[in-house]
Amino acid sequence: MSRGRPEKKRTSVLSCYFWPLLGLIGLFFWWWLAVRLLRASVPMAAYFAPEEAWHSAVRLLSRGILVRHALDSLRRVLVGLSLALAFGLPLGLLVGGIRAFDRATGLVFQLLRMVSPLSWMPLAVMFLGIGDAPVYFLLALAGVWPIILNTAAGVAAIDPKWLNLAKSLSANRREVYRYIILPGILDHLLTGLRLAIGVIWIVLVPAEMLGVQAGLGYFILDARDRMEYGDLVVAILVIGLLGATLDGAARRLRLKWLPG
Amino acid sequence: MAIKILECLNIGLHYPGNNYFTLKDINFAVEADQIVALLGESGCGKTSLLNVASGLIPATSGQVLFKGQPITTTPNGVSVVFQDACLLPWLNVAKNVAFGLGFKSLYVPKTERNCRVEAALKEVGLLDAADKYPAALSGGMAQRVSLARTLVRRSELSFLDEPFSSLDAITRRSMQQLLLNLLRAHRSSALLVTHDLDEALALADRLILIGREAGGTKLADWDLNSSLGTTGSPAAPNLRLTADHFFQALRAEISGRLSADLTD
Ligand SMILES: Nc1ncnc2c1ncn2[C@@H]1O[C@H](COP(=O)(O)OP(=O)(O)O)[C@@H](O)[C@H]1O
Ligand SMILES: [Mg+2]
Repeated sequence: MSRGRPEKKRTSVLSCYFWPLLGLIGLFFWWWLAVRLLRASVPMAAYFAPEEAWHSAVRLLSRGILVRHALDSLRRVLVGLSLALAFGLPLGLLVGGIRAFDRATGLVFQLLRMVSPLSWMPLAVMFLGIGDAPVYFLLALAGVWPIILNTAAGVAAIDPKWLNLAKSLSANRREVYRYIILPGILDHLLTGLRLAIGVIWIVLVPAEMLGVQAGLGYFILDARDRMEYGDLVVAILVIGLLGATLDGAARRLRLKWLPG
Repeated sequence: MAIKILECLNIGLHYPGNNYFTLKDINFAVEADQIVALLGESGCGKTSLLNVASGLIPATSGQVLFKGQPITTTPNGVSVVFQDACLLPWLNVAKNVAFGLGFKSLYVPKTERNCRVEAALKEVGLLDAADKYPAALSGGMAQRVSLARTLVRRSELSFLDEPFSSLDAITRRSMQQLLLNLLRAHRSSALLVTHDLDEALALADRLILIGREAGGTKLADWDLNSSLGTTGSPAAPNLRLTADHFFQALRAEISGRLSADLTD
Protein backbone atom coordinates (compact mmCIF):
# COMPACT_ATOMS: atom_id res chain seq x y z
CA MET A 1 0.00 0.00 0.00
CA SER A 2 2.77 2.41 0.92
CA ARG A 3 4.51 1.54 -2.34
CA GLY A 4 1.48 1.95 -4.50
CA ARG A 5 0.62 5.39 -3.19
CA PRO A 6 3.40 7.64 -4.55
CA GLU A 7 3.07 6.01 -7.95
CA LYS A 8 -0.60 6.88 -8.02
CA LYS A 9 0.23 10.42 -7.06
CA ARG A 10 2.76 10.73 -9.85
CA THR A 11 0.24 9.69 -12.48
CA SER A 12 -2.27 12.18 -11.16
CA VAL A 13 0.26 15.02 -11.27
CA LEU A 14 1.17 13.92 -14.76
CA SER A 15 -2.43 13.90 -15.97
CA CYS A 16 -3.15 17.07 -14.03
CA TYR A 17 -0.48 19.31 -15.49
CA PHE A 18 1.63 17.56 -18.08
CA TRP A 19 -0.98 16.67 -20.70
CA PRO A 20 -2.95 19.93 -20.55
CA LEU A 21 0.33 21.83 -20.82
CA LEU A 22 1.36 19.73 -23.79
CA GLY A 23 -1.99 20.49 -25.43
CA LEU A 24 -1.50 24.22 -24.90
CA ILE A 25 1.99 24.09 -26.38
CA GLY A 26 0.51 22.21 -29.34
CA LEU A 27 -2.08 24.95 -29.80
CA PHE A 28 0.58 27.64 -29.85
CA PHE A 29 2.63 25.58 -32.30
CA TRP A 30 -0.28 25.19 -34.74
CA TRP A 31 -1.05 28.88 -34.39
CA TRP A 32 2.54 29.76 -35.23
CA LEU A 33 2.63 27.25 -38.10
CA ALA A 34 -0.69 28.46 -39.58
CA VAL A 35 0.52 32.06 -39.60
CA ARG A 36 3.79 30.91 -41.17
CA LEU A 37 2.02 29.04 -43.97
CA LEU A 38 -0.64 31.68 -44.60
CA ARG A 39 1.86 34.50 -44.83
CA ALA A 40 2.89 33.46 -48.34
CA SER A 41 -0.59 33.96 -49.77
CA VAL A 42 -2.10 36.44 -47.27
CA PRO A 43 0.58 38.91 -46.15
CA MET A 44 -1.74 40.34 -43.47
CA ALA A 45 -1.49 37.05 -41.58
CA ALA A 46 1.81 38.27 -40.16
CA TYR A 47 -0.08 40.67 -37.90
CA PHE A 48 -1.69 37.71 -36.16
CA ALA A 49 1.53 35.95 -35.27
CA PRO A 50 2.17 34.87 -31.66
CA GLU A 51 5.06 37.36 -31.42
CA GLU A 52 2.74 40.27 -32.26
CA ALA A 53 0.25 39.05 -29.72
CA TRP A 54 2.97 38.87 -27.09
CA HIS A 55 3.96 42.52 -27.64
CA SER A 56 0.30 43.57 -27.52
CA ALA A 57 -0.28 41.59 -24.36
CA VAL A 58 2.63 43.22 -22.56
CA ARG A 59 1.45 46.69 -23.59
CA LEU A 60 -2.22 46.09 -22.80
CA LEU A 61 -1.58 44.52 -19.44
CA SER A 62 0.97 47.13 -18.34
CA ARG A 63 -1.60 49.88 -19.00
CA GLY A 64 -4.45 47.97 -17.44
CA ILE A 65 -6.68 48.55 -20.48
CA LEU A 66 -7.65 44.96 -20.97
CA VAL A 67 -8.37 44.52 -17.27
CA ARG A 68 -10.95 47.30 -17.43
CA HIS A 69 -12.70 45.75 -20.42
CA ALA A 70 -12.60 42.31 -18.85
CA LEU A 71 -14.13 43.66 -15.63
CA ASP A 72 -16.93 45.28 -17.66
CA SER A 73 -17.62 41.95 -19.33
CA LEU A 74 -17.57 40.07 -16.01
CA ARG A 75 -20.00 42.57 -14.50
CA ARG A 76 -22.40 41.93 -17.37
CA VAL A 77 -22.07 38.18 -16.88
CA LEU A 78 -22.87 38.62 -13.20
CA VAL A 79 -25.95 40.73 -13.86
CA GLY A 80 -27.14 38.47 -16.67
CA LEU A 81 -26.64 35.38 -14.54
CA SER A 82 -28.47 36.94 -11.58
CA LEU A 83 -31.41 37.84 -13.81
CA ALA A 84 -31.42 34.34 -15.29
CA LEU A 85 -31.43 32.88 -11.78
CA ALA A 86 -34.11 35.27 -10.52
CA PHE A 87 -36.48 34.19 -13.30
CA GLY A 88 -35.23 30.67 -13.93
CA LEU A 89 -35.37 29.34 -10.37
CA PRO A 90 -39.05 30.17 -9.67
CA LEU A 91 -40.06 29.06 -13.16
CA GLY A 92 -38.13 25.82 -12.74
CA LEU A 93 -39.80 25.20 -9.35
CA LEU A 94 -43.20 25.72 -10.99
CA VAL A 95 -42.35 23.43 -13.92
CA GLY A 96 -41.07 20.75 -11.58
CA GLY A 97 -43.83 21.14 -9.00
CA ILE A 98 -47.02 21.68 -11.01
CA ARG A 99 -47.87 19.14 -13.66
CA ALA A 100 -50.26 21.38 -15.56
CA PHE A 101 -47.68 24.16 -15.70
CA ASP A 102 -45.10 21.70 -16.99
CA ARG A 103 -47.44 20.48 -19.72
CA ALA A 104 -48.48 24.00 -20.67
CA THR A 105 -44.97 25.42 -20.90
CA GLY A 106 -43.09 22.40 -22.25
CA LEU A 107 -43.47 23.17 -25.95
CA VAL A 108 -43.20 26.95 -25.47
CA PHE A 109 -39.93 26.68 -23.56
CA GLN A 110 -38.52 24.17 -26.02
CA LEU A 111 -39.34 26.51 -28.86
CA LEU A 112 -37.92 29.61 -27.19
CA ARG A 113 -34.84 27.75 -26.02
CA MET A 114 -33.84 26.87 -29.56
CA VAL A 115 -33.87 30.49 -30.74
CA SER A 116 -30.43 32.02 -30.50
CA PRO A 117 -30.65 34.88 -28.00
CA LEU A 118 -28.90 37.13 -30.54
CA SER A 119 -32.01 36.91 -32.71
CA TRP A 120 -33.71 39.12 -30.15
CA MET A 121 -31.07 41.83 -30.59
CA PRO A 122 -33.12 44.17 -32.83
CA LEU A 123 -36.14 43.85 -30.55
CA ALA A 124 -34.03 44.32 -27.43
CA VAL A 125 -32.50 47.51 -28.80
CA MET A 126 -35.88 48.76 -29.95
CA PHE A 127 -37.49 48.34 -26.56
CA LEU A 128 -34.59 48.80 -24.17
CA GLY A 129 -32.48 51.31 -26.10
CA ILE A 130 -28.74 51.23 -26.52
CA GLY A 131 -26.39 50.44 -23.67
CA ASP A 132 -26.20 47.80 -20.97
CA ALA A 133 -29.91 47.01 -20.70
CA PRO A 134 -30.31 45.08 -23.97
CA VAL A 135 -27.09 43.18 -23.26
CA TYR A 136 -28.38 42.16 -19.82
CA PHE A 137 -31.61 41.08 -21.45
CA LEU A 138 -29.85 38.91 -24.02
CA LEU A 139 -27.58 37.33 -21.44
CA ALA A 140 -30.49 36.57 -19.12
CA LEU A 141 -32.36 35.07 -22.03
CA ALA A 142 -29.36 32.90 -22.86
CA GLY A 143 -28.87 31.68 -19.30
CA VAL A 144 -32.44 31.19 -18.16
CA TRP A 145 -33.12 27.90 -20.00
CA PRO A 146 -30.47 25.69 -18.44
CA ILE A 147 -31.53 27.02 -15.03
CA ILE A 148 -35.22 26.32 -15.63
CA LEU A 149 -34.60 22.86 -17.02
CA ASN A 150 -32.15 21.79 -14.34
CA THR A 151 -34.25 23.19 -11.50
CA ALA A 152 -37.28 21.33 -12.82
CA ALA A 153 -35.25 18.12 -13.13
CA GLY A 154 -34.06 18.65 -9.56
CA VAL A 155 -37.60 19.01 -8.25
CA ALA A 156 -38.65 15.90 -10.13
CA ALA A 157 -35.76 14.01 -8.52
CA ILE A 158 -36.77 15.00 -4.96
CA ASP A 159 -37.35 11.83 -2.97
CA PRO A 160 -41.04 11.64 -1.97
CA LYS A 161 -39.88 10.16 1.34
CA TRP A 162 -38.32 13.52 2.24
CA LEU A 163 -41.65 15.23 1.62
CA ASN A 164 -43.34 12.61 3.77
CA LEU A 165 -40.81 13.30 6.52
CA ALA A 166 -41.54 17.02 6.31
CA LYS A 167 -45.24 16.25 6.54
CA SER A 168 -44.71 14.13 9.63
CA LEU A 169 -42.87 17.09 11.19
CA SER A 170 -45.81 19.39 10.36
CA ALA A 171 -43.72 21.58 8.06
CA ASN A 172 -45.64 24.36 6.36
CA ARG A 173 -45.31 25.13 2.67
CA ARG A 174 -42.51 27.67 3.14
CA GLU A 175 -40.54 25.28 5.34
CA VAL A 176 -40.89 22.49 2.79
CA TYR A 177 -39.39 24.76 0.12
CA ARG A 178 -36.70 26.20 2.37
CA TYR A 179 -35.55 23.00 4.05
CA ILE A 180 -36.35 20.19 1.62
CA ILE A 181 -36.80 21.39 -1.94
CA LEU A 182 -34.07 24.03 -2.18
CA PRO A 183 -31.31 21.93 -0.59
CA GLY A 184 -32.64 18.90 -2.47
CA ILE A 185 -32.23 20.57 -5.87
CA LEU A 186 -28.90 22.26 -5.06
CA ASP A 187 -26.88 19.78 -7.09
CA HIS A 188 -29.08 20.20 -10.16
CA LEU A 189 -29.24 23.96 -9.68
CA LEU A 190 -25.45 24.32 -9.56
CA THR A 191 -25.19 22.23 -12.71
CA GLY A 192 -27.71 24.58 -14.32
CA LEU A 193 -25.73 27.60 -13.17
CA ARG A 194 -22.56 26.20 -14.64
CA LEU A 195 -24.24 25.58 -18.00
CA ALA A 196 -25.75 29.08 -17.84
CA ILE A 197 -22.36 30.66 -17.21
CA GLY A 198 -21.01 28.83 -20.26
CA VAL A 199 -23.73 29.93 -22.65
CA ILE A 200 -23.82 33.48 -21.24
CA TRP A 201 -20.10 33.82 -21.78
CA ILE A 202 -20.48 32.68 -25.39
CA VAL A 203 -23.34 35.09 -26.09
CA LEU A 204 -21.61 37.95 -24.29
CA VAL A 205 -18.98 38.71 -26.92
CA PRO A 206 -21.33 39.20 -29.90
CA ALA A 207 -23.79 41.02 -27.63
CA GLU A 208 -21.06 43.47 -26.69
CA MET A 209 -20.36 44.16 -30.33
CA LEU A 210 -23.57 46.16 -30.61
CA GLY A 211 -24.01 49.53 -29.01
CA VAL A 212 -21.81 49.35 -25.92
CA GLN A 213 -18.55 51.23 -25.37
CA ALA A 214 -16.61 48.75 -23.24
CA GLY A 215 -16.15 45.04 -22.72
CA LEU A 216 -14.18 42.33 -24.48
CA GLY A 217 -16.60 42.09 -27.41
CA TYR A 218 -16.39 45.84 -27.92
CA PHE A 219 -12.60 45.66 -27.60
CA ILE A 220 -12.35 43.16 -30.46
CA LEU A 221 -14.21 45.45 -32.87
CA ASP A 222 -12.25 48.43 -31.57
CA ALA A 223 -8.93 46.63 -32.16
CA ARG A 224 -10.04 45.82 -35.68
CA ASP A 225 -10.89 49.47 -36.36
CA ARG A 226 -7.56 50.58 -34.94
CA MET A 227 -5.90 47.87 -37.03
CA GLU A 228 -4.17 46.56 -33.92
CA TYR A 229 -4.48 42.92 -34.81
CA GLY A 230 -2.20 41.82 -32.01
CA ASP A 231 -4.70 43.34 -29.55
CA LEU A 232 -7.49 41.45 -31.25
CA VAL A 233 -5.71 38.16 -30.83
CA VAL A 234 -4.96 38.91 -27.18
CA ALA A 235 -8.65 39.65 -26.61
CA ILE A 236 -9.56 36.26 -28.08
CA LEU A 237 -7.05 34.55 -25.81
CA VAL A 238 -8.34 36.40 -22.75
CA ILE A 239 -11.94 35.49 -23.60
CA GLY A 240 -10.98 31.83 -23.77
CA LEU A 241 -8.95 32.00 -20.59
CA LEU A 242 -11.59 33.82 -18.55
CA GLY A 243 -14.33 31.53 -19.85
CA ALA A 244 -12.38 28.44 -18.80
CA THR A 245 -11.68 30.03 -15.41
CA LEU A 246 -15.37 30.84 -14.85
CA ASP A 247 -16.35 27.31 -15.76
CA GLY A 248 -13.70 25.87 -13.45
CA ALA A 249 -14.88 28.12 -10.62
CA ALA A 250 -18.50 27.04 -11.14
CA ARG A 251 -17.48 23.42 -11.09
CA ARG A 252 -15.40 23.85 -7.96
CA LEU A 253 -18.26 25.72 -6.27
CA ARG A 254 -20.53 22.76 -6.95
CA LEU A 255 -18.06 20.28 -5.47
CA LYS A 256 -17.55 22.51 -2.45
CA TRP A 257 -21.22 23.05 -1.71
CA LEU A 258 -22.20 19.45 -1.99
CA PRO A 259 -21.68 17.81 1.41
CA GLY A 260 -20.01 14.60 2.38
CA MET B 1 -59.11 2.06 32.67
CA ALA B 2 -55.92 3.53 31.23
CA ILE B 3 -55.95 6.72 29.21
CA LYS B 4 -56.35 6.18 25.50
CA ILE B 5 -53.71 8.18 23.71
CA LEU B 6 -54.72 7.10 20.22
CA GLU B 7 -58.06 5.86 19.01
CA CYS B 8 -58.89 4.66 15.53
CA LEU B 9 -62.63 4.55 15.01
CA ASN B 10 -64.14 2.66 12.07
CA ILE B 11 -61.23 3.49 9.80
CA GLY B 12 -61.84 2.84 6.14
CA LEU B 13 -59.38 3.72 3.40
CA HIS B 14 -59.80 3.75 -0.33
CA TYR B 15 -56.99 4.96 -2.60
CA PRO B 16 -58.28 6.83 -5.63
CA GLY B 17 -57.98 4.62 -8.68
CA ASN B 18 -58.22 1.32 -6.80
CA ASN B 19 -61.39 -0.72 -7.09
CA TYR B 20 -61.12 -2.07 -3.56
CA PHE B 21 -60.89 -0.73 -0.04
CA THR B 22 -57.38 -1.04 1.42
CA LEU B 23 -58.71 -0.78 4.98
CA LYS B 24 -62.16 -1.70 6.20
CA ASP B 25 -63.76 -0.70 9.44
CA ILE B 26 -60.73 -0.87 11.70
CA ASN B 27 -61.08 -0.11 15.40
CA PHE B 28 -58.39 -0.08 18.02
CA ALA B 29 -56.84 2.12 20.65
CA VAL B 30 -53.35 2.63 22.01
CA GLU B 31 -53.22 3.29 25.72
CA ALA B 32 -50.68 5.46 27.49
CA ASP B 33 -47.25 3.77 27.85
CA GLN B 34 -48.36 0.91 25.69
CA ILE B 35 -46.46 -0.55 22.76
CA VAL B 36 -48.82 -1.96 20.19
CA ALA B 37 -47.58 -4.08 17.30
CA LEU B 38 -49.46 -4.16 14.02
CA LEU B 39 -48.83 -7.48 12.34
CA GLY B 40 -49.77 -8.84 9.01
CA GLU B 41 -48.33 -10.09 5.75
CA SER B 42 -47.02 -7.58 3.29
CA GLY B 43 -49.64 -5.75 1.29
CA CYS B 44 -52.35 -6.11 3.94
CA GLY B 45 -52.42 -2.38 4.60
CA LYS B 46 -50.14 -1.93 7.63
CA THR B 47 -48.32 1.07 6.21
CA SER B 48 -51.61 2.56 5.07
CA LEU B 49 -53.10 2.16 8.53
CA LEU B 50 -50.05 3.70 10.15
CA ASN B 51 -50.16 6.62 7.73
CA VAL B 52 -53.80 7.22 8.53
CA ALA B 53 -53.30 6.84 12.28
CA SER B 54 -50.36 9.28 12.26
CA GLY B 55 -52.25 11.84 10.21
CA LEU B 56 -50.06 11.56 7.12
CA ILE B 57 -52.97 10.62 4.89
CA PRO B 58 -56.68 11.22 5.54
CA ALA B 59 -59.00 8.27 6.11
CA THR B 60 -61.82 7.77 3.64
CA SER B 61 -64.16 7.07 6.52
CA GLY B 62 -63.90 6.94 10.27
CA GLN B 63 -61.93 9.06 12.66
CA VAL B 64 -58.55 9.20 14.36
CA LEU B 65 -58.40 10.69 17.85
CA PHE B 66 -55.14 11.75 19.46
CA LYS B 67 -55.69 12.30 23.19
CA GLY B 68 -59.37 12.56 22.47
CA GLN B 69 -59.04 15.16 19.74
CA PRO B 70 -59.79 14.33 16.09
CA ILE B 71 -56.74 14.88 13.87
CA THR B 72 -56.31 15.58 10.18
CA THR B 73 -52.54 16.16 10.09
CA THR B 74 -49.66 14.86 12.21
CA PRO B 75 -50.07 16.56 15.59
CA ASN B 76 -47.30 17.73 17.88
CA GLY B 77 -46.51 15.01 20.36
CA VAL B 78 -46.45 12.43 17.59
CA SER B 79 -43.39 11.30 15.69
CA VAL B 80 -42.88 8.87 12.84
CA VAL B 81 -39.95 6.55 12.18
CA PHE B 82 -39.87 5.37 8.61
CA GLN B 83 -38.82 2.03 7.19
CA ASP B 84 -35.55 3.35 5.84
CA ALA B 85 -34.03 5.95 8.12
CA CYS B 86 -35.04 8.75 5.76
CA LEU B 87 -32.14 11.03 6.62
CA LEU B 88 -31.48 14.14 4.57
CA PRO B 89 -28.18 13.60 2.75
CA TRP B 90 -27.19 17.28 2.78
CA LEU B 91 -27.31 17.53 6.60
CA ASN B 92 -24.86 16.00 9.03
CA VAL B 93 -26.04 13.70 11.81
CA ALA B 94 -26.54 16.45 14.41
CA LYS B 95 -28.52 18.60 11.97
CA ASN B 96 -30.58 15.63 10.86
CA VAL B 97 -31.50 14.98 14.48
CA ALA B 98 -32.39 18.65 14.99
CA PHE B 99 -34.39 18.73 11.75
CA GLY B 100 -37.87 20.04 12.34
CA LEU B 101 -37.15 21.61 15.72
CA GLY B 102 -36.87 25.00 14.00
CA PHE B 103 -40.28 24.69 12.35
CA LYS B 104 -43.14 26.92 13.35
CA SER B 105 -45.23 23.97 14.48
CA LEU B 106 -42.79 22.96 17.20
CA TYR B 107 -40.25 25.71 17.69
CA VAL B 108 -37.43 24.91 20.08
CA PRO B 109 -34.88 27.70 20.79
CA LYS B 110 -31.36 27.08 19.50
CA THR B 111 -29.57 26.46 22.81
CA GLU B 112 -32.29 24.12 24.01
CA ARG B 113 -32.19 22.42 20.63
CA ASN B 114 -28.45 21.73 20.91
CA CYS B 115 -28.91 20.29 24.40
CA ARG B 116 -31.63 17.95 23.23
CA VAL B 117 -29.62 16.83 20.20
CA GLU B 118 -26.59 16.07 22.33
CA ALA B 119 -28.65 14.15 24.86
CA ALA B 120 -30.43 12.17 22.15
CA LEU B 121 -27.19 11.31 20.35
CA LYS B 122 -25.76 10.15 23.65
CA GLU B 123 -28.78 7.93 24.24
CA VAL B 124 -28.43 6.21 20.88
CA GLY B 125 -24.65 6.05 21.26
CA LEU B 126 -23.77 8.28 18.33
CA LEU B 127 -22.23 11.33 19.96
CA ASP B 128 -18.98 10.70 18.10
CA ALA B 129 -20.73 10.62 14.75
CA ALA B 130 -22.43 14.02 15.14
CA ASP B 131 -20.44 15.58 12.29
CA LYS B 132 -20.75 12.67 9.87
CA TYR B 133 -22.97 12.73 6.82
CA PRO B 134 -25.62 10.03 6.19
CA ALA B 135 -23.66 8.58 3.26
CA ALA B 136 -20.96 7.54 5.73
CA LEU B 137 -23.33 5.69 8.09
CA SER B 138 -24.22 2.00 8.23
CA GLY B 139 -27.88 1.01 8.11
CA GLY B 140 -28.03 0.50 11.87
CA MET B 141 -26.37 3.84 12.59
CA ALA B 142 -28.73 5.63 10.22
CA GLN B 143 -31.74 4.10 11.94
CA ARG B 144 -30.34 5.15 15.32
CA VAL B 145 -30.06 8.71 14.01
CA SER B 146 -33.68 8.53 12.99
CA LEU B 147 -34.61 7.29 16.49
CA ALA B 148 -32.70 10.25 17.92
CA ARG B 149 -34.66 12.55 15.62
CA THR B 150 -37.87 11.37 17.24
CA LEU B 151 -36.39 11.51 20.76
CA VAL B 152 -35.64 15.23 20.52
CA ARG B 153 -39.30 15.89 19.80
CA ARG B 154 -40.23 14.49 23.23
CA SER B 155 -43.25 12.91 21.64
CA GLU B 156 -45.82 10.96 23.61
CA LEU B 157 -46.57 8.59 20.75
CA SER B 158 -44.21 7.14 18.17
CA PHE B 159 -45.23 5.47 14.94
CA LEU B 160 -42.68 3.03 13.58
CA ASP B 161 -43.08 1.42 10.17
CA GLU B 162 -40.94 -1.74 10.02
CA PRO B 163 -38.05 0.31 11.36
CA PHE B 164 -35.54 -2.52 11.51
CA SER B 165 -36.57 -4.72 8.60
CA SER B 166 -33.61 -3.74 6.44
CA LEU B 167 -31.04 -4.43 9.17
CA ASP B 168 -29.09 -7.63 9.69
CA ALA B 169 -30.30 -9.97 12.44
CA ILE B 170 -27.70 -9.02 15.05
CA THR B 171 -28.07 -5.28 14.55
CA ARG B 172 -31.84 -5.73 14.60
CA ARG B 173 -31.71 -7.40 18.02
CA SER B 174 -29.67 -4.61 19.56
CA MET B 175 -31.86 -1.97 17.92
CA GLN B 176 -34.98 -3.63 19.32
CA GLN B 177 -33.46 -3.55 22.79
CA LEU B 178 -32.47 0.08 22.32
CA LEU B 179 -35.96 1.01 21.16
CA LEU B 180 -37.54 -0.76 24.10
CA ASN B 181 -35.21 1.01 26.55
CA LEU B 182 -35.88 4.39 24.98
CA LEU B 183 -39.64 3.99 24.95
CA ARG B 184 -39.64 2.83 28.58
CA ALA B 185 -37.25 5.57 29.69
CA HIS B 186 -39.36 8.30 28.09
CA ARG B 187 -42.67 6.68 28.97
CA SER B 188 -43.69 6.95 25.38
CA SER B 189 -46.35 4.91 23.62
CA ALA B 190 -45.74 3.35 20.26
CA LEU B 191 -47.54 1.83 17.34
CA LEU B 192 -45.08 -0.53 15.67
CA VAL B 193 -45.70 -2.01 12.27
CA THR B 194 -43.88 -5.25 11.66
CA HIS B 195 -44.21 -8.47 9.76
CA ASP B 196 -41.86 -10.20 12.19
CA LEU B 197 -43.71 -12.08 14.92
CA ASP B 198 -40.58 -12.41 17.06
CA GLU B 199 -40.09 -8.68 16.98
CA ALA B 200 -43.71 -8.10 17.94
CA LEU B 201 -43.49 -10.52 20.85
CA ALA B 202 -40.20 -9.07 22.03
CA LEU B 203 -41.39 -5.48 22.05
CA ALA B 204 -45.13 -5.20 22.25
CA ASP B 205 -47.66 -5.11 25.06
CA ARG B 206 -50.38 -5.76 22.56
CA LEU B 207 -50.59 -7.39 19.21
CA ILE B 208 -53.03 -6.56 16.45
CA LEU B 209 -53.30 -8.82 13.44
CA ILE B 210 -54.43 -7.34 10.15
CA GLY B 211 -55.67 -9.70 7.45
CA ARG B 212 -55.53 -9.12 3.75
CA GLU B 213 -58.11 -11.61 2.61
CA ALA B 214 -61.08 -9.62 3.78
CA GLY B 215 -59.46 -6.40 2.56
CA GLY B 216 -57.48 -4.93 5.44
CA THR B 217 -59.58 -5.81 8.44
CA LYS B 218 -58.58 -6.45 12.01
CA LEU B 219 -58.48 -10.17 12.64
CA ALA B 220 -57.35 -10.27 16.23
CA ASP B 221 -56.22 -8.16 19.14
CA TRP B 222 -54.20 -9.78 21.91
CA ASP B 223 -53.08 -8.30 25.19
CA LEU B 224 -49.71 -9.91 25.87
CA ASN B 225 -49.43 -8.71 29.46
CA SER B 226 -52.69 -9.95 30.90
CA SER B 227 -53.70 -13.57 30.93
CA LEU B 228 -57.13 -12.52 29.75
CA GLY B 229 -57.53 -11.87 26.08
CA THR B 230 -59.36 -8.78 24.94
CA THR B 231 -62.07 -8.09 22.39
CA GLY B 232 -63.23 -11.64 22.03
CA SER B 233 -59.86 -13.11 21.11
CA PRO B 234 -58.58 -16.21 22.87
CA ALA B 235 -56.92 -15.89 26.25
CA ALA B 236 -53.13 -15.55 26.17
CA PRO B 237 -51.65 -16.95 29.37
CA ASN B 238 -48.15 -16.76 27.99
CA LEU B 239 -46.19 -15.73 24.96
CA ARG B 240 -45.91 -19.20 23.51
CA LEU B 241 -49.63 -19.61 23.55
CA THR B 242 -50.03 -16.25 21.93
CA ALA B 243 -47.70 -17.28 19.18
CA ASP B 244 -49.75 -20.44 18.70
CA HIS B 245 -52.94 -18.44 18.46
CA PHE B 246 -51.29 -16.12 16.05
CA PHE B 247 -50.16 -18.91 13.80
CA GLN B 248 -53.55 -20.54 13.95
CA ALA B 249 -55.20 -17.34 12.88
CA LEU B 250 -52.66 -16.86 10.14
CA ARG B 251 -53.04 -20.42 8.97
CA ALA B 252 -56.80 -20.07 8.89
CA GLU B 253 -56.41 -16.93 6.85
CA ILE B 254 -54.01 -18.54 4.40
CA SER B 255 -55.93 -21.79 3.99
CA GLY B 256 -59.09 -19.77 3.45
CA ARG B 257 -57.34 -17.96 0.63
CA LEU B 258 -55.94 -21.17 -0.85
CA SER B 259 -59.32 -22.83 -1.05
CA ALA B 260 -60.75 -19.63 -2.47
CA ASP B 261 -58.03 -19.65 -5.12
CA LEU B 262 -58.71 -23.29 -5.93
CA THR B 263 -62.41 -22.74 -6.43
CA ASP B 264 -61.77 -19.73 -8.68
N1 LIG C 1 -50.47 5.33 -2.68
C1 LIG C 1 -51.21 4.24 -2.98
N2 LIG C 1 -52.07 4.30 -4.01
C2 LIG C 1 -52.81 3.21 -4.33
N3 LIG C 1 -52.77 2.04 -3.68
C3 LIG C 1 -51.94 1.92 -2.64
C4 LIG C 1 -51.10 3.02 -2.23
N4 LIG C 1 -50.37 2.64 -1.16
C5 LIG C 1 -50.72 1.37 -0.91
N5 LIG C 1 -51.66 0.93 -1.79
C6 LIG C 1 -52.29 -0.38 -1.80
O1 LIG C 1 -52.77 -0.66 -0.52
C7 LIG C 1 -52.50 -1.98 -0.14
C8 LIG C 1 -51.75 -2.03 1.16
O2 LIG C 1 -50.47 -1.45 1.02
P1 LIG C 1 -49.55 -1.14 2.28
O3 LIG C 1 -50.32 -0.29 3.22
O4 LIG C 1 -48.26 -0.59 1.78
O5 LIG C 1 -49.34 -2.59 2.88
P2 LIG C 1 -48.20 -3.13 3.88
O6 LIG C 1 -47.52 -1.98 4.50
O7 LIG C 1 -48.93 -3.99 4.84
O8 LIG C 1 -47.27 -3.95 3.04
C9 LIG C 1 -51.77 -2.62 -1.29
O9 LIG C 1 -52.70 -3.39 -2.04
C10 LIG C 1 -51.28 -1.47 -2.11
O10 LIG C 1 -51.29 -1.79 -3.47
MG1 LIG D 1 -45.42 -1.40 4.48
